[in-house]
Amino acid sequence: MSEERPEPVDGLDVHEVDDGLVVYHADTDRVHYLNPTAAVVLSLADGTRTVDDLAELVQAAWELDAPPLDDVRECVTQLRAEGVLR
Amino acid sequence: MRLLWHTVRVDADADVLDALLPLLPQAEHPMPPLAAMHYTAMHDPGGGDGDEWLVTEEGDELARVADAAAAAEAVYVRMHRRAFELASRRGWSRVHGSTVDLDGHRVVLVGRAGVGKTTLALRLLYDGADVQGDESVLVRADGTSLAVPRAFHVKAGTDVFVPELRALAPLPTVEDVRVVDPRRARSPWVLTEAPVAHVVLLERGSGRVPSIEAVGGAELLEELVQQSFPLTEGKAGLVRTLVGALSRARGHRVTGGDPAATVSALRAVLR
Repeated sequence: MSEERPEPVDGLDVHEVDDGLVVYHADTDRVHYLNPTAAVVLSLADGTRTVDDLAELVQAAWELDAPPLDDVRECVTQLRAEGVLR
Repeated sequence: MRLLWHTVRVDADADVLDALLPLLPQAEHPMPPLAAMHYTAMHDPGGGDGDEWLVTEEGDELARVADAAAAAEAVYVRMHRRAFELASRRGWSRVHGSTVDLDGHRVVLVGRAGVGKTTLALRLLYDGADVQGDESVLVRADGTSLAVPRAFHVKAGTDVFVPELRALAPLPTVEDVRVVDPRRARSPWVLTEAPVAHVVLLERGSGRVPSIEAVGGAELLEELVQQSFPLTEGKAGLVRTLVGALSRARGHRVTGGDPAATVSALRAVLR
């Protein structure tokens, strides 16, 4: 997964709320409720960044001691399973 | 009579009206009527199997049913469907929940069936709150809300927490559920449009005193989408509307608690 560059699938309607994102996916007619970590990952995953890149950006954004690579990897896996990222 | 943006005329046999009218106590509607509906529901001794009630809508046959109660239900369901479709086309989405103006705040109580929304709404009503509706509320993306006027449906056991109901006995019943005209507790009953200030998610729990915690927008949205009835707006439009409607609302989860204690806890949260 480390060389893969995830990006959102087409047809997402993304809404910002105070504790994350609410995403409606027209193709599946499903609504997804993303926590802050998933929201940041979805916002940064634009098809140009690897999972390592995403983890480093999350580290910088939240001023963490180390890149949360396992958390970001798990998040990407879950968002792919939900059909939000490809 | 009025139902949201419709005026409704029903010409029916007395036994149909006896079944229908207790379900439709009339709130005062500040908004102008935009459309009209007309139903008839008459006994037709010569129809079909020889003993039927014929229900018409705008002069066209809507249903043939076996008794007056079924005729009343056919009119009730159809008139609400049309009222909600017009509301949907005008940008409103409907959410299953009670609407209460409490201490100057518009509060929407949301929860699964049987969690106690109506019992809490009645307790609030008798404690002086302006309870606008007990079953569903219309919301718009700009945050405005408007309760759907309906008789309160009271389940067995409610009298324990709202003993004032005993003075209203006997109450009309529909399928073993008693119906209460809220004007018998507080009059006048005037529908008002107001921004949603608070959404309260009610959940089952034990204990007399409720536990209360703040919840964020995504959590509120998840529950409200599940408790909504999208019509012409579709699910995408519903989500957009709810995100807008809740953009300035606070949210809390209230677990357990008897209604009187919950009223006190809600008032404390609103302060």
